[in-house]
Amino acid sequence: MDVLEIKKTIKETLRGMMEDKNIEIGDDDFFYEDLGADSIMIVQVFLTCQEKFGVTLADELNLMEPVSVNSMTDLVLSKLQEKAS
Amino acid sequence: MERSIIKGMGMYLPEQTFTSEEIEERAGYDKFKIKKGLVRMLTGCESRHYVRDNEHSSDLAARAGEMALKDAGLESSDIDAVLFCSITQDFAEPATVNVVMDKLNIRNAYSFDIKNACNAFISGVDVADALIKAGKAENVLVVSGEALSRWTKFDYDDKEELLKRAPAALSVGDGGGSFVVSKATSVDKDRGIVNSRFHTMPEVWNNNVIWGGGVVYPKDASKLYIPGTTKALIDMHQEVSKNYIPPVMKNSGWKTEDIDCVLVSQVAKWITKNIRNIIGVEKEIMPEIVETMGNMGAANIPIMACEARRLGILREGSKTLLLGGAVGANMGVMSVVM
Repeated sequence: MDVLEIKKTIKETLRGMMEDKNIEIGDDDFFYEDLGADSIMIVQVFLTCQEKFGVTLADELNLMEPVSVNSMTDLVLSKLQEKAS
Repeated sequence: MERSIIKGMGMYLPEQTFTSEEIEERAGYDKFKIKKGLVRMLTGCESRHYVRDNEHSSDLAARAGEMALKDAGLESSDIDAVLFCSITQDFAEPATVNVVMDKLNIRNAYSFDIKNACNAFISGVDVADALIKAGKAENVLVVSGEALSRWTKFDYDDKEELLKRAPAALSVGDGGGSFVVSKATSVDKDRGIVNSRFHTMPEVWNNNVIWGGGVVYPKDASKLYIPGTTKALIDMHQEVSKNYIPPVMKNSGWKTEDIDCVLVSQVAKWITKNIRNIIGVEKEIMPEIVETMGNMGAANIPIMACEARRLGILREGSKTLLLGGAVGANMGVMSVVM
């Protein structure tokens, strides 16, 4: 799976739910702390990635831990590798 | 001083079950074009049990109480106090405990309802312990019957409310749970309730309020539902876990490695995971029921105790922590040698 595609999916999903549809999303910006996303927006990003990339992310959600595009991408990649092995 | 033991336990689940996707559909996810799967992703709840039209809180509590009495080897006539401890109730007056007692044929017992949101059951066990230590009772039946589906909103007309608040509220399930708390005898050795600590943070009471059912909105039935505004409570739950578990452990003379079982209120799997990390225990000694039963409010703790025993995690002599966070907001921690 292309890392860029995962990042694009995460950013588009997040941007689609934010009030400011043109918000700049940096790869290391934390969704809640830096971008102001709420918990349901974060859950929706997990849900979209789970469905689009065919991996199980339900047990990985932890709303007390900061999450960024990079950390989310790493998570999806690790789940894809897990699935492939 | 007298000591109290958990002499028996029981649980009851209504027959019909619904998946989270079925519940989301019923609440209007398709109508508002909201992606289904939110409830499961946020809370970990895949399915839950719901009461039928003719089943009420008192029925769930009575069925669980019946099992707990049998488990304790006691008759109805042995019980000298009954405490009904739930969020939901049959009606505003009289106390639902009266209906439960009638169904269980308990005729000569001191009784009352205990309201304390999700912590009602732990509070009930603490009160039972106090009654026994004060010499006012020898066998106390503590029961909970949560028909939370009756206070679940399904007719949303506001997409934002359905999207932002509903996922937590839609994870609730129905069930009954019960403990028989009895005066320890010489054969009970080290068993019993060891220590407890309760703390209330009233400044955050205005979170996840069920506005109906009281005198503020006496005629407005549309306000009788769980809104799901839980963020402040979740933050509190985890923060207080850090501050209140250590003193109970210290007062009990327990170290982390001594703990055999942890029973914690079931709001979401990720919250349980964080609390597990705070305590420093393994997943294997901390059963979870939110996946298959949802969040059953005050009935979570006794139902989880029954499940933990069925799974072989909880045995006689197990050093067990009961841990609850509740709307109000308040926190309860109790150490028990089962």
